[in-house]
Amino acid sequence: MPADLFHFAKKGDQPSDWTQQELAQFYRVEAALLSAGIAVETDRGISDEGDPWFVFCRAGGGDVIVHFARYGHFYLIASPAMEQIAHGTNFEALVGLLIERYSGFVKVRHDQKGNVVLHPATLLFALVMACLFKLDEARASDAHSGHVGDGLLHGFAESASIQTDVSAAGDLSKMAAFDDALMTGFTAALATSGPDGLSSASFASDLPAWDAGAMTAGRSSSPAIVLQDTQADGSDEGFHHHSGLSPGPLAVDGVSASSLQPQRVGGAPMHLEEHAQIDVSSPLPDPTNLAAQSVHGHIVFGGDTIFAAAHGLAQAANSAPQDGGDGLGHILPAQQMFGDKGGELQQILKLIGHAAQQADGDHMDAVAPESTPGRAQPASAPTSPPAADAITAANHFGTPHPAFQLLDGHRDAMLQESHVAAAGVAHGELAAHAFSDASNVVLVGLAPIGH
Amino acid sequence: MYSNPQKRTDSETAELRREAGRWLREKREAQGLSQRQLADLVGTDYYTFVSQLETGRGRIPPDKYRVWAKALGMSPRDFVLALLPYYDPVTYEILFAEGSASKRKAP
Repeated sequence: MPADLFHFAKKGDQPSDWTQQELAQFYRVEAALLSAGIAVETDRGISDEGDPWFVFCRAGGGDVIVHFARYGHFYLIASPAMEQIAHGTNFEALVGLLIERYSGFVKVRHDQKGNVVLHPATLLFALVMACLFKLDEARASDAHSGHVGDGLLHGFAESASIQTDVSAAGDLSKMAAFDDALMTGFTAALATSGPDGLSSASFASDLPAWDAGAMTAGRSSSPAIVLQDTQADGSDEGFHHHSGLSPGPLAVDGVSASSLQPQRVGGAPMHLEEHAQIDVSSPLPDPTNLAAQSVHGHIVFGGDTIFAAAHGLAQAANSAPQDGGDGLGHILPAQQMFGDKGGELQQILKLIGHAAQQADGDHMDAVAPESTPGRAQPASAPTSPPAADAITAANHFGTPHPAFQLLDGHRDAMLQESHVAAAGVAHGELAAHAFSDASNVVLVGLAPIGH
Repeated sequence: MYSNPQKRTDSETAELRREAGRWLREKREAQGLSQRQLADLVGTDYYTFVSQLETGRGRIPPDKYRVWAKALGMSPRDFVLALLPYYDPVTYEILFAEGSASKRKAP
C-alpha cells in the first residue's frame, strides 16, 4: 500500500494550505511558462485530510504535467514523466535532484555544503519543462513519428532560430528549441522575480537536517534517491542562497523587436554583496569528453577578456549509446558562445571534437544582441562567427541557464545559473534582451577593479 | 500524428473532467472511503491524486479501470460506461447515442 508510506508524515505547525510564498513561486513559474509560450494551466486543492496539492497541466483541461503535494512536513512530487515519485523535506534539493535525474542534460549546481544554488522559481521552471519535454517525447514515440510532434514544444521546434547543417541537425534543432524555451522562461522568471529577485528563498523545511533526505515510493521498496543533508555542519539554519552579485528589479518594457535587432527589455545595476564568494570546489568538466552526457558551459575571465560559452547538445544520429547510458545516443558537446568583438556581440555555435571537424564552417545563424549602453551597436548581424581566440575585450557574459557552468580559469569569477558570484569586480550591470522569435538573452557586464 | 480526438473546446473538456470528478467523489463517499483509503485500494502512490481527480484534473489511466471499479463497488463495465461520457464523449455518443436505443446513463 504505497500511500501508507506517508502515514508517518507529521502534522505539526506546518500550515495546512500552501503558504503565500509557496504559491507565489508556483504562480511565478506559471507566468514564466506562459511568457515562454508554453500553454499550461495550474490548479490546486486540499485533500480530505487537509494536505495541499498543486498541479501544472496542459492547457485546455489537459493532462497533468507534474503534481506537487505537501504531507505534513514532506513535499511530494509526481509526474507521468517520472518513473517514481519523490519526497523530502527540502523542496529545492528535491526539485534539483529530479531535474538532473529526468532531464538528462541539465546540471544543477550545488555549493560546498551540497545546497542547491538556484532560485526556486528557476528550479521549478526547469522541472516542469523537463517533464513536458519527456511527455512530448513519449507522445512522439507513441505515434512513431520520431519528432516532437504536436506537443507543447512543437512551436519552438518550428521557430527555433538556431540551425546547423550537421547530420544531427534535427536532434540539435529540437534541443536548441528546448534551450530556447528554457532560456526564455528563465528570463521571464527573473523578470518577474521582483526586488528580492535572486536572493529570495522559499520552501524551507523546519525539520532538522537529519530528516532532510528523500526517498522514492512506488514499485521499489528501497530508496533510489538520496539527498545530501542540506546543512552538512548539522546546524538548524534554514536553506538559503548565496547572494553574490544580485540584480535589482528588472523593468520589462515590452517586446517588439525583430529577430536580429533585439530590444533591450530590461536592465538593472548590480551591486556587490558582502557574501560574494568563489566556489572552485566543483571539478571542471572536460569539454572534449565525447562520452559526456551532461552539458557544461564555460566562462573564461582573464584580464580584460571575458567571453561566455554555453554548451548545447549535439546528438549524433545513429550512434550507439555511451557507457550503457540512457539511450540518448552519442552526445557531443557543443558550444553556444556569446562574444564581444569590436563592440559587436556575436553568437556562434561550435561543435567540439569529431563533430566539430565535420561541421567546421557550419554555424548558427548569427544573432547580434544589442550591446549594453555606451557600446557600439551592430548595424546588422555578423555573417561569420569569430574564432574563440579572436574574441577580446569582451565584457559581457552570462545567461540564466542550467547548462551553464563556469570555468575557473582564473578563479576570479563564476556563473551559477541564475546568479553571479564574483570577486575582483567593481560593479556590474544586467541587461535582458528579447527577440521576436521569443528567445531571450540575459547579459551581465562586470567591470574589474581598476578599470 | 495523434492529437486530441475529442475536438472539444477547452471549456467543454474542463467541465467534463469536473463532472467526472464530482461523480468519482460521490461514488467514493457512497462507499464510505476516505481519499487515502481509496488510494490504498487502487494502488495509487500518493493519495492527493484522488483529490486531484475529484477536482477534475487528470483522468484515471485505462489500465486502472478494473481496480478502480472494484474499489468503488462496481462492475468494470458499468464503471467504464459511467466514465466514458466524461473521458471520451465522442466514442460514447457513437456507441450509445447515434441511432442506438441503448444510451446509458451513469450508474
